[in-house]
Amino acid sequence: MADVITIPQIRPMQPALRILRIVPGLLLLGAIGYAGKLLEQNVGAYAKAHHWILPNIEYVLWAILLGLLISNTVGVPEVFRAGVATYEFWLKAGIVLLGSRFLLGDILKLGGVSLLLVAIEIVGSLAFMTLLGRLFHLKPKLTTLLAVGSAVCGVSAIIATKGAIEADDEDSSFSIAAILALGAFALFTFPLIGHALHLGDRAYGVWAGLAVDNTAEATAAGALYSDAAGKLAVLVKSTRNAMIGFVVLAYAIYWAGRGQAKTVTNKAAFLWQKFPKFVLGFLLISVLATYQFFSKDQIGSLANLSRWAFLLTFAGVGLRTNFREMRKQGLRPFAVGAIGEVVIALFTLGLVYGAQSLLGH
Amino acid sequence: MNFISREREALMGTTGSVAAAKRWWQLSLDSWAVVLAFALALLIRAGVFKHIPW
Repeated sequence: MADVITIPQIRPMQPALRILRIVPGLLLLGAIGYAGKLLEQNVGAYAKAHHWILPNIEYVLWAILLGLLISNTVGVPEVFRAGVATYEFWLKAGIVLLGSRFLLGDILKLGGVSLLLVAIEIVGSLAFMTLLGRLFHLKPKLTTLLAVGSAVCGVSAIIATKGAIEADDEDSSFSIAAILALGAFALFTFPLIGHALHLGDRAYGVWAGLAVDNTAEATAAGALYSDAAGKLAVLVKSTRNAMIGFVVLAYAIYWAGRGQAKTVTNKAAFLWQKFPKFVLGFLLISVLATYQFFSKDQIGSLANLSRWAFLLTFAGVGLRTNFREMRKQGLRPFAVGAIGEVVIALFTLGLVYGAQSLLGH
Repeated sequence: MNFISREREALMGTTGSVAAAKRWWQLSLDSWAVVLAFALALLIRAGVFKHIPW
């Protein structure tokens, strides 16, 4: 009798199981974020009671530092990983809710200025990163991923472009590691540079939104400076994110023309698929707030809800940053990314100084 | 690729070109974030949540 070979069927995970899988990590995000909030309150009060002179360290920094400490010492156990990965989800929900704190007129005015700055930043960054990739003899698709990651929106842009241009896993790992490492660096250096240069909240917020690659890091870098700078950083970063579809489409067409990626047949559907929907949500909620759909108290509640969502995000930023893992990815892509980021930071700082009269204080 | 990138790639559904037909619950991460934010905003507007403290 012939042996019967049974092939195990792989079933997609049920939605209820998926939700259960994220619970431990979500609780960890909440615990770290809340610990950050408690530390902000208590360390400040303790220092004041003992007449110590300590800078006020906000919950943003505490949450990131606690996350970094866990990630780089004991590591994030497998059971927490799916939940920790939801930090991007809370970031996007938080940005949508933050829309209630913007009046449509402000968005149109600041959004118009930031759209112009973003267009200049994207063209300049893509051109410079492409040139740098060629100078360092990086693989062309790796150069594309690094360029898109630096110019548009960090890891999301790299993941979107990877699929569209059929880049390999190794290239996207390199690019993601470089962008994450540089994002972590920017998180701590941008506020220091901003204070050293006495940048106003608006100028600093626009700069962080233009120059910091990942949305989570840009939001955190802004919030570390001030509440107003955080709002502006989110607005400018969202404008940058809105460009992702156009940039990815352009690269998809370029690589398809060279026979190294699938041809994009339906460009409108492609743009819609890549367009970050949270930007639309942000605009819609701001329209509702502008037309007084929400009372003043309700807007206060929405703003607080957005802070809670960001609290989970900042804990996730720390938890996902593992310096040992980043070091493994090699030096060359990191060097290209680092040189590129420094030049982009200087270039965008110049843009912000140039546009300061349009931005106000 | 680190664990966040792998989880996100799965969650975001941003790989490949235009995705094939999906079931209703297979919205992108972005869309779910918008749905949740609006659901919470409507609950606040309806007075179900009177005040969210910070």
